[in-house]
Amino acid sequence: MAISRRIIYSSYVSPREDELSEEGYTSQQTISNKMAGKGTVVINQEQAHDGWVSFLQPYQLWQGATHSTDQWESQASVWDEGDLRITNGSATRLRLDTVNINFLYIKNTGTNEATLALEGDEYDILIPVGAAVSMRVNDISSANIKVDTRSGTTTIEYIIAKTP
Amino acid sequence: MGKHIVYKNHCTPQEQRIIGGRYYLDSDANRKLTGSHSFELGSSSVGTGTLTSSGVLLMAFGLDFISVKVTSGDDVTLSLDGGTTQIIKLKNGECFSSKIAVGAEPYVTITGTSTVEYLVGT
Repeated sequence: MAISRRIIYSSYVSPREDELSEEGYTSQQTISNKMAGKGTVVINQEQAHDGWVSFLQPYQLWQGATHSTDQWESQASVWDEGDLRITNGSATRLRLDTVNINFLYIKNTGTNEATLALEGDEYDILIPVGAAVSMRVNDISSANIKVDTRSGTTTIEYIIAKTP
Repeated sequence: MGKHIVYKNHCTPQEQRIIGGRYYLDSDANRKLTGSHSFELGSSSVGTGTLTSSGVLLMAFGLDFISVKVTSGDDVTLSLDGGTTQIIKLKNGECFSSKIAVGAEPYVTITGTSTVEYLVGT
């Protein structure tokens, strides 16, 4: 049982240009200043919702299991990686309870670009395949945080943390 | 070949189990998280700038990528709709980086004394 929770987050950006040498090797040259930053976000110690992270940890369902009906071989889902599947046009909410959010991390683990809205239906943040976004959210309601795709389906892993 | 912006975003969720104790990797997440991407600029270019009062990043429209960092001072907020809805908060030393939609209007609101540096793909 956690008595305190926090998330350390960071971002790193490096603009580069590929250059082909006379010998045929490709090297990368920095073309502008790099940018990097780091911070610590204190989140609510009691998240009150198992869905605040997409990962289903081992043992998560122990407290809900009963000896007579729940067997290990029928509980394979708790060992899954826990990625959430998003379909174009679905406008998927990450948290179904309505609370204020002060930290959000989303990584696109699928095959199509994901989109993120923090203010209803304005999908201004784009998450290409393999990319992630991490941010200190300005106490936005979880009802306003939605994910979609630009086309097709993709999968994401995420953390959506409630404000203290 | 060509110009591109390589960016990486990380996070490490942690929990404390006893008062005054050390922080461990959060047992609900059980891992450090990271994602990276190389954003091809194509015919686009990279721009940089500094803000010490509220304003847009280089230009209000047409940005494909933004990275915003508070290099000194108080908390600032970032909106993507021209300053109407403050959706992201940044403290001193923190940085937000992401690819954004063409219609987004990044706007930084500075209420105290802060310096914000930014890098954009246009």
